[in-house]
Amino acid sequence: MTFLHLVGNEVTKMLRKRRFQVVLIILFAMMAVFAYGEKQASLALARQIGTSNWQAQLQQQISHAENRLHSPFISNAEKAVLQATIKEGQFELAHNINPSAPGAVSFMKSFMDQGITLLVPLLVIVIASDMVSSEMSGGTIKMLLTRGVARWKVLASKLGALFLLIAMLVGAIAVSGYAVSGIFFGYQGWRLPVLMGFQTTSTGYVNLSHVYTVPQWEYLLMSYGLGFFVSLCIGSLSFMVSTLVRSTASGMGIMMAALIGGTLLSVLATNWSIAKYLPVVNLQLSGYLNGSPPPISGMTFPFSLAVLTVWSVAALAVSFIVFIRQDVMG
Amino acid sequence: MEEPVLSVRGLEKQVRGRTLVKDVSFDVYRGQVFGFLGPNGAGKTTTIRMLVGLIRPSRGQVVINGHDLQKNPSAALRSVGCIVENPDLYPYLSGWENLYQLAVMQGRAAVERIERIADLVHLSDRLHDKVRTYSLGMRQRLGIAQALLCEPKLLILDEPTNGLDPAGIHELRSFLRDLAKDGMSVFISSHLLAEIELLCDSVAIIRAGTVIRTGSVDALITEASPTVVWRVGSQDTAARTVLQKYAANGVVEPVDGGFHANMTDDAVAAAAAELARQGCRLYEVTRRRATLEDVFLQATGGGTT
Repeated sequence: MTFLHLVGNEVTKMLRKRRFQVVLIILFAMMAVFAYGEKQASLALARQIGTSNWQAQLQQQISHAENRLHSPFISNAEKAVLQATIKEGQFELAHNINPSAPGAVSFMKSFMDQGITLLVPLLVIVIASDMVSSEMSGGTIKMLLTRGVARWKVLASKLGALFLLIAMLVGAIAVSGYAVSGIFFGYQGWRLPVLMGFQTTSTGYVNLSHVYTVPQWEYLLMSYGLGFFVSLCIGSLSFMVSTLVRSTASGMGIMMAALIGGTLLSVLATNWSIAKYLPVVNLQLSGYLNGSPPPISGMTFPFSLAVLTVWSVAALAVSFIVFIRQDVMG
Repeated sequence: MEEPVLSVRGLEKQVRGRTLVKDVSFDVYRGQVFGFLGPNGAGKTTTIRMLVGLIRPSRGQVVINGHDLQKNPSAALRSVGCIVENPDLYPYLSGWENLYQLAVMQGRAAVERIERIADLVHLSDRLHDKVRTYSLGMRQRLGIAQALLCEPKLLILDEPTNGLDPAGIHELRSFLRDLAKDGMSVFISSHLLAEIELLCDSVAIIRAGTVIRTGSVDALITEASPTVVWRVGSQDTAARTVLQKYAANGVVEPVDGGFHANMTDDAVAAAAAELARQGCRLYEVTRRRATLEDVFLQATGGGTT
């Protein structure tokens, strides 16, 4: 008997339960809706502005942002976002880089950039919340723990299976994004240049001195890598909740409430600086790639990585300690 | 005396100051069918969960096949097959997949045994159907197949007859008897006393978390059957005098066609000899045999018969 067999068991159970397949179907449906919506939006924009020339469109967006910037009603955080948008747009115009060049690859990029804070974590939660609690509520945990296999090994095999499934999920996001959006935008765009190295502070100061371009495929590798990292972190947190809470439904509820609460917090509580130590506020890792300002001042890329790592490791430690020590009562 | 397969000493479990199980001790030997009796809530399931390492005892020791369960749980559990409460199955997997999941945890040899064990519990026909479609009896049999995968020396079954029809119970009984004949020890908890009486060699009776009686079924029943029925020729006073001499406390109760008296086996022999010497006509002597239910009710103080 090897550890890989145990991981295989867990993956089999997950696939036979069809939970993973349901997640994939949700994913495909959303891809189709988003791609269609984005296509319609770009057509509508072209109609409104009266041209499909991207330079003219971008120029319009910049002047719109500049007008809003002078409004007395917007908050500092909103101001920072606008300033970043303006600077980036001007830079792109000056260097003749079309930020919204259509194509399946650009769609993949914007899907992960947008989805990393909420959508991708939600899908991960659906998978991860079930891992341990379903065995507890189904009673099958008794069989797993009385077969002469150490408890930590049983739990580690579940964790291994979860990480494997998360990798498959991130892969599925990339593949389905490419396949579905290509129908609408065409399957091109791997080599389009993407601007990197904008540094925006939360006060709205944009530093352009380190800006450079990378081909889009390279950007995708980075952003999907970060998406995978965020998914692992959310997966670890859900895994802990799954070992602590016997009911899958309440475990899922707890994680979703935390996630959505964190998203709200990063919009509302920009002045409450302790919030930056919460994992759910640090999920916007792709923001550090494309230069959006961080939700709370003082957050940097290494800081967010560190916060996520510390929380994940702590969550896994709690899971293992509780799982190994607990009495399995009726 | 040979080494017991399962040896339990001074087992105790406290949860938040409440004592669920206290000072439970017993031994189960090779080839023995051991019954664990008690009313609902007496601590049967808590004890069984401690025997298979699901619950950590607050005090006491469990030794299975020479391995201390606390110090070396993996080695101890490798020779145990169990069903705790219900057969624990994945309804969305087939019977074969359910067996495979567990067999893989126990090594290649267990995987090779799957077909043979499925055959043993008469599940071969439906083995590749989803467990969701199984009847209760089939689930019970699949649970037993799971427990047998590791070729256990000790089989622990918690309320195995729950939900079985009379034919199923009968089948299970002869199946377990056969396993015990081949040298497997079987530990069964139940509150169905007639079942246990038919099946078990020895029993432990637990009440309110404490074992109040242990022993072989025969010995316990004999002990609980003190009354001997004497059928004698007539209501003669000579016979009565003789019986009073040997009866416990000298109490003899006249009934239609004879007397009832509480006596040991030795006293019965001596009394019969003296009756013969005195020329009394003795037609029949029988001990009124108690059932395990009587033993149980006497022991648990639930009433007397």
